[in-house]
Amino acid sequence: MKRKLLSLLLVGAMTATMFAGCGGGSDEPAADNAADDAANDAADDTADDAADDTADDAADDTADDASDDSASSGGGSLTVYAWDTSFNIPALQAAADDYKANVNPDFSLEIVEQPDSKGVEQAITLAGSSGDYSTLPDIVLFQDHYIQNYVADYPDAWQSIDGIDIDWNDFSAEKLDYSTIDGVHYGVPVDNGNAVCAYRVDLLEQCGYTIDDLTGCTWEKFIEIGEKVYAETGKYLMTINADGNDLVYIMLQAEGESQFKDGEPYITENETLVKIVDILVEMAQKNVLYLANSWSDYCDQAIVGDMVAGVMNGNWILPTISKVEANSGKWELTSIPTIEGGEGYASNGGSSLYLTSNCKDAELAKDFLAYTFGGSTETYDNALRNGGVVTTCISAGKSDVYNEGVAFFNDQPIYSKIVEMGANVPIVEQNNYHYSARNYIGTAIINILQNGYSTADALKEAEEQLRFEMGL
Amino acid sequence: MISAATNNTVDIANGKLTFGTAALTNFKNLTNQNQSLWGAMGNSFLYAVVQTLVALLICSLGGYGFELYHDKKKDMLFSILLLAMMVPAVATMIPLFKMISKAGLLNTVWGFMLPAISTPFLIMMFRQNSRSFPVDVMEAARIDGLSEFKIFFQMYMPIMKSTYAAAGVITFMNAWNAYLWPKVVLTKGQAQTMPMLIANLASGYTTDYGLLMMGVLFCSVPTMVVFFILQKQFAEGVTGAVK
Repeated sequence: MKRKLLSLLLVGAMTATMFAGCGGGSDEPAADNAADDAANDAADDTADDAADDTADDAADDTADDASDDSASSGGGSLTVYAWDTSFNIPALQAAADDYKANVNPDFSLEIVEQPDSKGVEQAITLAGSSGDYSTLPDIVLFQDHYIQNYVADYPDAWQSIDGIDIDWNDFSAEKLDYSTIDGVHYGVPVDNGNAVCAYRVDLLEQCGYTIDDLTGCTWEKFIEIGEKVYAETGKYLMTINADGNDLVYIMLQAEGESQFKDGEPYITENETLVKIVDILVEMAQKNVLYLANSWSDYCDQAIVGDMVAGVMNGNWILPTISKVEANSGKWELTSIPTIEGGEGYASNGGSSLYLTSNCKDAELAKDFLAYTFGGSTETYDNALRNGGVVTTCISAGKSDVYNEGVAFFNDQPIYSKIVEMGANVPIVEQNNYHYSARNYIGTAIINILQNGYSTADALKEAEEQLRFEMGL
Repeated sequence: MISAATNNTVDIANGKLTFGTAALTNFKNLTNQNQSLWGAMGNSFLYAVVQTLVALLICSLGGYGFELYHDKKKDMLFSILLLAMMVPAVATMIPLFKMISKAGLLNTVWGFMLPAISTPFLIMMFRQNSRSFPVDVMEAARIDGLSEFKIFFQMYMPIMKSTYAAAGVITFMNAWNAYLWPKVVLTKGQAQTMPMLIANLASGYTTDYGLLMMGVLFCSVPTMVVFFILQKQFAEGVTGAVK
């Protein structure tokens, strides 16, 4: 009897755990969450609590609540979640100082540091899943590639910034494409994810080439140069982290193509993508491309460990390159090669600032963002000096600071060049499954290189897996 | 770890294992962070010490009661308590967060420690170790007129001190190293703990490994000190010895 009772309890506990796990999934639209939460609460809590919670949730979940809150309080302080003390946080600090000095002397910005972009995403998920948005800060820094996903999943976590005093024509259209959802502006851009190709000009010279040979060249020519560089110097002309797959996306965008077409995966039918995968495989086989195992291998071994003569990624990789002081003056930047030749432009990564529904003083937040990241040269100049953050704001990118030559990059005015290149980045179709697509294509490349798959088979598998994940 | 704390990132990435000269720079960078190192240390100490003291008191009372005031219904209750060990912590995270948030305990020491002050594991540990507690001593104390609470505080506690030491080390380490739950309830910069500070140091597009290792060194020292001080009792406590 005792054993039976115990096993019954055991089964009961496991079932309860299972139900707890099933309820309120983050993929469901948040509109349903209130109902889900109420259902979960009814199961979990006592009858009294459930009734209270349901009422509370319903109140919490309405967006009106947030605007009521904003009217009720004021003061000159805002809280923001951000990550990276050597990049984003100095930029925010620069903006706070600028606003305080020139607009509102009582203003203060509390920057709550997060371990990484995931820290912010988890905070939104947690608030969204629990239906309690009161824990969110006023503003969050959020990765561009993920924002559309999160606005779709937790619409009540955000506030639109329509009506903000910013000239959107002054920003790179490609960057704004992320933060504008159904024609409504949600975010103000901070950094510029514009992709650059950086090369060691001293090693190129040693092999009889200049950076001009690599500017606007075809990938075929690139491989030819890369083979020679490896033969003569033992360094790879390109590197990629096997689990990040940045290159495929960058190369594809430079051709004006996407991994998606009309909301569906566009992989096996996409001739450009197939060609790019073939190019990458050829590069890896000919020792032009170094495949690092992970992100830290990519940064610490390949780049800081001085194994490469070239790097292609978002311009936020430049501080990593600059760590090797011995190579100062030996690097230069240029645009991305393309399949048919001609200069390619792309963007990879980057983030913007978004207002949460918990923002107590939306007017202050909008005014702060409009004055600073909306185009203040003081903010952007200091963000660049202190954090290496490059703007997407075209007018701010023309300041004297942006036009200064950078000694590490052979006195090239790299920052104005990056802003200039950023204006040319083509808009390609984005999708919530952006990173999944990249991962499957990355796996396909590894399958081709190490497991003897043909390109067609490997990409077919990638597309099937992606379609399965997307529920198509 | 110690040698890496004295080197800069490039040396560490190149696999240098000998001591370097960057210790002072790393230390200066660590104290100049956006978040205060000493603030995080202070928070971690406060949270860990308070949680350890309260958890020891509550769990030892529980274990003591289960074993020394033994009856069948309590055994049944104990089985239910053990079942709680099977519920994964992440499954209770969101309901707990809602409770703590509604009670207004976010960013407080209470929010940090309430879910952890009474753990089935510690109660079980005290209960098992109480088996070797000499019941005769209790009888003698009762005859001498000691109240039940005094028996607990004046007889049980001193006799079971090695169990307290072992449980103390375990709780302190768990509280000191806790990351996920603090990350959920401590949303303000000033309330952050050492593991959260370390996680922030490892962030971003580029990591300063020298700085990170210096941070890790600071984070590891207190747990090492606590362990070494209580090492002897810890060994006795986990084996259940009573003197």
